[in-house]
Amino acid sequence: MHVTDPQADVRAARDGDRAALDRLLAALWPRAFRLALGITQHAATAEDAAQDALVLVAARLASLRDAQAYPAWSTRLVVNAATSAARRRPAHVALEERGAAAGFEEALAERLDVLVALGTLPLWLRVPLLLRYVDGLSSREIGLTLGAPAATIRFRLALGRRRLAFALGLSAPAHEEFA
Amino acid sequence: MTDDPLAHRVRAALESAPVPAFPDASLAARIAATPPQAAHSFRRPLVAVGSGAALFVAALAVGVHTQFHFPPAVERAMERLERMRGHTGPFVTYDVTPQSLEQVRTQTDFPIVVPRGMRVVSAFALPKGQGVSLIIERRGRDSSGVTRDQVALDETWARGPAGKYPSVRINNDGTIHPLHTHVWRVGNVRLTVSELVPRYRAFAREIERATRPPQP
Repeated sequence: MHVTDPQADVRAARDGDRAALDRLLAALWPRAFRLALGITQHAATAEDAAQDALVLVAARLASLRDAQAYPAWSTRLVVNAATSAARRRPAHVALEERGAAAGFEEALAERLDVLVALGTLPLWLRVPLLLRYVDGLSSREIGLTLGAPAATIRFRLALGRRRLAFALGLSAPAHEEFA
Repeated sequence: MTDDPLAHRVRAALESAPVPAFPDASLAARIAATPPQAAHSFRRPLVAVGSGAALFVAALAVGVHTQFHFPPAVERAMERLERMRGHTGPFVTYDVTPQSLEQVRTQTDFPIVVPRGMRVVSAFALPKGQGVSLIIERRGRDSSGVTRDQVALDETWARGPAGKYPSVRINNDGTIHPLHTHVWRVGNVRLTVSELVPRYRAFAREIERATRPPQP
């Protein structure tokens, strides 16, 4: 298996190496789609948003000075593209299509329940929670991505977690210290 | 990675979602049709930084040295403004690297207050603890704000009442535009935000005429 260093790819892509850029985008694609799906709650919208984010990554990569900042930088572009798409898309349309999807694929009912529950959270709670649970970012890293202090992110995480548990019909979650 | 039942359910829900095939062809076409935007991200801070410097040069109305590294046209315009105000000293410049708000907060010993509802695009700390310039996204467009310690370079400006002040912005090409500067105080921190306001157009034109270099 051919293993490449992502930071080396970032530097090479910044210098115009098309193959390196393709590797970066292909590696980012699944993560971008899943993050966008969690934010937009709609597969087609998420796909469009993830594509938009990848185009922005390609267009703006030359302006990225620090290759180490690429993960947070690219995540920010994905989050921005997905939140913009989620705001453009009326919530009731997404809900109707989720219902259709649930009927189409019964086996996914449990997973769709989670998506529906996530959809009840406002974006300012949903996005930090997704970055925490799906990308495994710390409060500080989420704060850097979203431009908010870590303390604010910790508050949002705790509140989002309580609301998500309530939406899923779970008992109040055990206390978690959000680092 | 957080691993509790709630986190596990969220992760499972998203990771089990089928990921569409990588849109190689359509993405390549869109990327080919999108010009690189490296110059944009460089220009925006400079314009905003320019307006921050305009606050120091024009609104402070004191002979402070120019402490930013600007395009030559901007430096010439600033020099003209300062000459008009009687400043004859040397100009000092240095490079400015836009940073995140979090990074800048680690470099200052005073609180940086961001108005509610405004998103900070980038920021940079002014030298010697003079303050912090924030590039703020406001009403769909970027504008520049400067938060400053109460003990500032110019006592008159620092103690001035909250309100609106005429100022100017210097663009990258050296042209001068009017600004309407809102100033208010939160605790010990003064915050100023500049906006283009039509009724100050005459003010800017007057300055631009007065500082226009003689045509050969």
